[in-house]
Amino acid sequence: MTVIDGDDGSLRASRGNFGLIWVQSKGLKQTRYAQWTQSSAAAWRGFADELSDLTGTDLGLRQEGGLDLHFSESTLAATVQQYEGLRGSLGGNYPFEVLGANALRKEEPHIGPKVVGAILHHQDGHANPLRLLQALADGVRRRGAYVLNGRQVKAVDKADIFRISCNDGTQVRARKLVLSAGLGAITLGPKLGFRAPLRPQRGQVLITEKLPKLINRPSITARQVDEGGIQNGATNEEVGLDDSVTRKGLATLAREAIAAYPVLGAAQLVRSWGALRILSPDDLPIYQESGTMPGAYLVTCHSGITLAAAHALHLPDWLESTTDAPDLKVFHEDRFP
Amino acid sequence: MKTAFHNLVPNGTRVPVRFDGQVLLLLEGTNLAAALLEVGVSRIRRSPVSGAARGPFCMMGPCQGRYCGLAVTELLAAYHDMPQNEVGAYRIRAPLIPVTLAEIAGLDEEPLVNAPH
Repeated sequence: MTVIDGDDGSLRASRGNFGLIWVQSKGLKQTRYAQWTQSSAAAWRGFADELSDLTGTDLGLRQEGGLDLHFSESTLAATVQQYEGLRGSLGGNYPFEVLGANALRKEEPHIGPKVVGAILHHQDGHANPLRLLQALADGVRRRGAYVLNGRQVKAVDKADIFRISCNDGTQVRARKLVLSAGLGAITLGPKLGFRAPLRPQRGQVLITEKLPKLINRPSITARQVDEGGIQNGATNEEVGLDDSVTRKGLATLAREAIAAYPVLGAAQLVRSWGALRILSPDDLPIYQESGTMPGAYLVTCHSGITLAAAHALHLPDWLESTTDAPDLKVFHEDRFP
Repeated sequence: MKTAFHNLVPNGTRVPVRFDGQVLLLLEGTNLAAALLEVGVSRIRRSPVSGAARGPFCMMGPCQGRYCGLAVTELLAAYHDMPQNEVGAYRIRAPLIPVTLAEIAGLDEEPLVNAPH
């Protein structure tokens, strides 16, 4: 197997990750997406252990539940109602509980008075995304794959097998080809017979100095990394291929973080950065074999950390069409008009 | 105090600075972290997570105002006899100096200057 990778200047969602392994709120409109997410969350412990054994890297995995914090009773009630509906569609497999202000304060002593309650979902968790990236890059080489960095694919043709041509003249021949180039699929997809209707969406995040334990469970607002820093996220901005940070974005994130955990007001911000999510029109993944070039597959998603275990452990069966292949029909790109 | 660091330009006025209950004679006008390293103070805090000793070293983070990034560019440019803008710089990530979340939260909506890569 050969991995063809871009250069340091490439737009990489993997460097902007928040690190959540997140089940709650996903799949409210598509139950199969909730199930696919749950199957990955359930596979994560085994996946992390396998990667750690292979590379010696500790991924900092914690799956002890995650919180959805609410600043108003009405948004809390509306979300609970949605989750109850999804729990019914999932045959009851959706373990969440509602924490009122007092119960939440017992779990999170530093939570602020503006937070009226939270939903604790027991299938949520988080990991260290940079260590995951490092371990995957190391592990794939240890398993005998070639990684070609600093290259851009310019052309692909197929006679009996694929011939992939890069900008530096490198040519790679392969029996199968998986296009998982993130936003690069917008350009490369049509050359392989895919529509690849993708768009970038910017997320800005910030991280504080390393602090003693202040936050027990992660939320989409704040999580404490295993190394001590507290990461705050994230904006959702439709700004094209621009991954810069803005004063407005950082100020908004800081205000939200302080509203949730007032003690963070005194914490020092040490770094901020922006990265671009890779989104389809309904924000769900696309798994699609090419109609015009059989053996070429488009794999693209948001939530690359959450889905990493499913992609590593279950997707190969789909790529090889084995009897264990997961049913991914609802994620074909022909769902888009 | 014994130190692994040597000041390349040790001459100048020294001023008394009280650090951790001790009076140290530090070179006037020198970056504080560098002046402390010169007289053997390499542990300035402990990790809040593990308790391990922490010192101010080049490129470890937002420590002394991030001037080291510019210094790296200058040194590489001088060594290779190239213009500094050809050497380039690390991509700058805000904030350039340490700032609290409360201070950031109060900022207005002006865009930050952000170096393209």
